[in-house]
Amino acid sequence: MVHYLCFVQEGQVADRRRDELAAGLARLGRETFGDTPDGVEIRWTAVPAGFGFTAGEPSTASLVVRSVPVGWGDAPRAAFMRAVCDLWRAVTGCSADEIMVTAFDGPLPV
Amino acid sequence: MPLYRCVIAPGLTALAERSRIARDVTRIHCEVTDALPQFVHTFFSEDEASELPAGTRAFVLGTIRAGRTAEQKTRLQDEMAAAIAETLGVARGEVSVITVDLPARWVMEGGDVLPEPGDEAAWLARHGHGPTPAR
Repeated sequence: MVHYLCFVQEGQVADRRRDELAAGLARLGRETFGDTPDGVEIRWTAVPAGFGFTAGEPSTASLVVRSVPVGWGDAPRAAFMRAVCDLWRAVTGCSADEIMVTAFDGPLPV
Repeated sequence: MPLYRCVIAPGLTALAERSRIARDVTRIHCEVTDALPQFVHTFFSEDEASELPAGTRAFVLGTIRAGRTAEQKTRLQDEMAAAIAETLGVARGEVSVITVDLPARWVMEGGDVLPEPGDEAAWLARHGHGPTPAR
């Protein structure tokens, strides 16, 4: 089962620091959902230069999608997404506008 | 959000075409929904696995915030398909655009959960974007 889908821009900071980000996502998964240490699957997509745009210009954004329990409450959902945002900003130095997080009910559409 | 994921037949685009499509997608989304352009993402991939629907040379899956009207969704699909077909130099019928809804409360961007329909002004004010309607 894929737990996280991560889209990063190829060659940019988030792409170069995948290991730290993956460790942080795994930790959040353990703390929040009880993921087993070796059971977290993260699928990365590095968007090549010239293939990712935000506002019609070359993108610096990362997108993270996490499968969460169906019907999960709004407050824990928001807290989890904020934790992912904080992780991304701490590791990559990105702005709040450069990280989008989705907590998706049920299995991810991969 | 929104995120528009565009799968294009291999070799059909260079950077200039992808840039033009990204600008068109952003413009159309903003015109139809009053969104802020800085939150419109357009990501491309080439169809290396031959997964495009039969008879198409470009497929766009747009993940948009729930709450858009049927008329808005139809406009998004029709206007984007026409613009992309023109840029690619293919028939309109060879471009497929669909949208799927995602509840606002499932998404965080700009450091905050996205606003529900009708709550955009307060959200934008908190984020220093003034009274412009939100996506």
